[in-house]
Amino acid sequence: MISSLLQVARFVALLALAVAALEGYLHYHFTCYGRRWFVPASAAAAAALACAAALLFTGRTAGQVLCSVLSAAAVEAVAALVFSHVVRGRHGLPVMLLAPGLIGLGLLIAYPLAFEVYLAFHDLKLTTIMVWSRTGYIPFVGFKHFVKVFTASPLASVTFWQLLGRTLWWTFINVFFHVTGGFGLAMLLNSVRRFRGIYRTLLVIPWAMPQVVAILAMRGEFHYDYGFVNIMLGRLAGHLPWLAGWGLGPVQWLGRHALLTCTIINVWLGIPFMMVVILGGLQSISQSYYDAAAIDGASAWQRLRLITLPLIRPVLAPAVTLGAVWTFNNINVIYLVTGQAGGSEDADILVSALYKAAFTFYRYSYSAALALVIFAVLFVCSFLWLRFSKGSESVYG
Amino acid sequence: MTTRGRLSLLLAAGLCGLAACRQAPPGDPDRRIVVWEHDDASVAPYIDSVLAAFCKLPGNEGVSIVRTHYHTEDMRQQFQTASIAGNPPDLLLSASDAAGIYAISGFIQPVDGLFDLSRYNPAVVAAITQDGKTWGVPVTNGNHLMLFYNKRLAPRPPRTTDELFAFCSGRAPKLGLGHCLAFHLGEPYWLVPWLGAFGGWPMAGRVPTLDTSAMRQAVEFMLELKRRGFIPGECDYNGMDALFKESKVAFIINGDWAISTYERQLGAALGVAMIPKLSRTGRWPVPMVSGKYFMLSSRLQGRKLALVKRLVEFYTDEENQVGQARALKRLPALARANSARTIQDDPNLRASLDQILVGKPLPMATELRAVWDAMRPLFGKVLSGQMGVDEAVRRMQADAETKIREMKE
Repeated sequence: MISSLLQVARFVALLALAVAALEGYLHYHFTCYGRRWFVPASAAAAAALACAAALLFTGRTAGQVLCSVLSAAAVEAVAALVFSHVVRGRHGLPVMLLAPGLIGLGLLIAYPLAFEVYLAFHDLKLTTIMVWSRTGYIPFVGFKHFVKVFTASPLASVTFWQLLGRTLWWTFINVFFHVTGGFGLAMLLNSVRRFRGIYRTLLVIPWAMPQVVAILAMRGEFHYDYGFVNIMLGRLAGHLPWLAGWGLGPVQWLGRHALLTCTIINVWLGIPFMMVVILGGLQSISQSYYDAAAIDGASAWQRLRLITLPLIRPVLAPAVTLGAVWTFNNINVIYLVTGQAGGSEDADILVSALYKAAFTFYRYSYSAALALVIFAVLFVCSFLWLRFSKGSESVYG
Repeated sequence: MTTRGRLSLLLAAGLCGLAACRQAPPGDPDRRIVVWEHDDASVAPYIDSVLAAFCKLPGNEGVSIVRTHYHTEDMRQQFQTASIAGNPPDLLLSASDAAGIYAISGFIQPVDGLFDLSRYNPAVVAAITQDGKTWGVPVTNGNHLMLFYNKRLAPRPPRTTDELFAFCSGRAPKLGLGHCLAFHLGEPYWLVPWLGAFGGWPMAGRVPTLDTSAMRQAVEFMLELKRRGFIPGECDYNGMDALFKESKVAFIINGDWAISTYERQLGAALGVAMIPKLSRTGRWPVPMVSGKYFMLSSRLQGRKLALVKRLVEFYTDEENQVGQARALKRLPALARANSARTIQDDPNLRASLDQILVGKPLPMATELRAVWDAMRPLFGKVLSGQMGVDEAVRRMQADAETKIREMKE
């Protein structure tokens, strides 16, 4: 326990030191750029640091040490020249404030993304991984994997285009029910005066619960023999034989209707989030709009259409965009419901197929290309949605 | 200097001190062994006790062993990542299913020449041998499926499927059992023993052999079990496990890893037996047999390799193999340990050993992954009535071949 805490503290201290070093570097460059000794002193300091690092941390040859020292001095000299002739101390504070965040984002997002692009144009797979781990070399294959994404599906019985269509349909249906269900519940909660907090807490439980637990619990409820849903359907059919005559009875949810089961579970999971967001939007609408509308004799439908919906748009549009992106990329429900080890292909969407290609069949480069295609699809869809829904515009402007 | 300046200096000194401190004295890196395993949590105390005993041996002063537990899939991914990053663990204690991937990727090293593999049961060594090279040292023998029964519901195990069916249609309904047998219907690993009983096997060498009459008959047999209500309509691992533990079924087909858990749950009421002989063909079902293995990182060499070798030999010596059978109810991989009283006097372990004798080694070929993935969805479609047996079997073969081609191209 203590050693784990020490490890965490050590990591935080290292991070703090790195940020302090970065800020010190920037502060020096933003304040001392005008001194005569600035460029040579910076280059000399960089050379000294490079020399110390090369000698202390690696067992390099003299030639390699010299090369590192000269490179560090040259790079720092260029940086110092830029600071003294171009930047000249301008925007020092914003740059110093933004720098740690930008560098963090660069390391956590930009680098992996760049590596993803690199992988997509090369050929890393089961049979080339050994060569890569030993030599760092992967063969360049150009657009081969991108062509394969559209011509050869990662799954056996579903083509890429079917998979794309299914993913778009899955996203639309889920988001539609999230929004309508969330909106309905938010309207109800907004009109309730007593125990609103209790109702809200109860309704948020599926969302607040760890997703794995919630999904596995719901999966059990769809079991053919022992699930709550089929038990209720069986009892209904037993008590009302005319319903049984219409075909009502236990259903093989997981075997025959895997995608429908996943959808029902995901709708149940997603409604609370949308409800909370919309409720926040509804509570921010001033009552005076409704009072004025009531004086003018507006009907409930007119109040909803002309006041409520336009005024919650700034809240709803980003929430729908986020919900759509999350649903499009939601591997958890599909993976946990259809079986962790591969399972049925009937419920697979693009990201679950991507997961199988990468981690079941080790087709890393193909998966990287597929991931970039998925990213492009999402980017275009989100852009179009935000543009046409005018979600980023102010309703009051 | 101002107070603020002093405080800043103090903070910087503190941060430097904290960053410079290390969590433990590093010691000699060649005397520090890192072991990763993905076994059941209940097995950890046993593993730790053997590792601790090794550290106390004369000549092992200063040796430290760090054991890290992972979930099965996590370990596979983490080991790959760590190997690519150049910082893998020294030893893996793992089932053989991912060994093919590790071998092809160059993450583990062959153990031929390092260990005397003739001391171990041949089938368990065969399950980790590919292209003439052996990629791990066996620790347990088994990982195989067998029949568990609840003696309160069925005093004697069925020897044949006819006896099983007679129980299922006769005594089981009288006992109020909805179904009499449970096994993991979604996973083709549970189909394989029946496939073997019809004379088939999913692979011949590296080639999938799914489009066969044996496969058709095995799938038809599953449908028959389901149609007659002997097994639940849908059943995954957790489902079958819960049904058996709650005495809602009399029989379950599960692996040797479950013996100790079921013994704790049912006590003397637990019985272990061979999966009933298929009356139609007169053949025993053929489960896949492998085990748990020590796999050595390909980066191990020199003094560290020698130390790891001693640890593996200690872990798998006769005394520890018998101790393992006693503590974990798992069969030893060491051939000589099979005759120990601990095993011969334990009816459950003896039944497990009998089952192994009719099993076949789990193929180590990486192509098996494609075979499982081709079988799983189509087998599911047949069971849910969405596809005919003939079409499903033909597509299994075609899909497996496609997936293998895609893995390689």
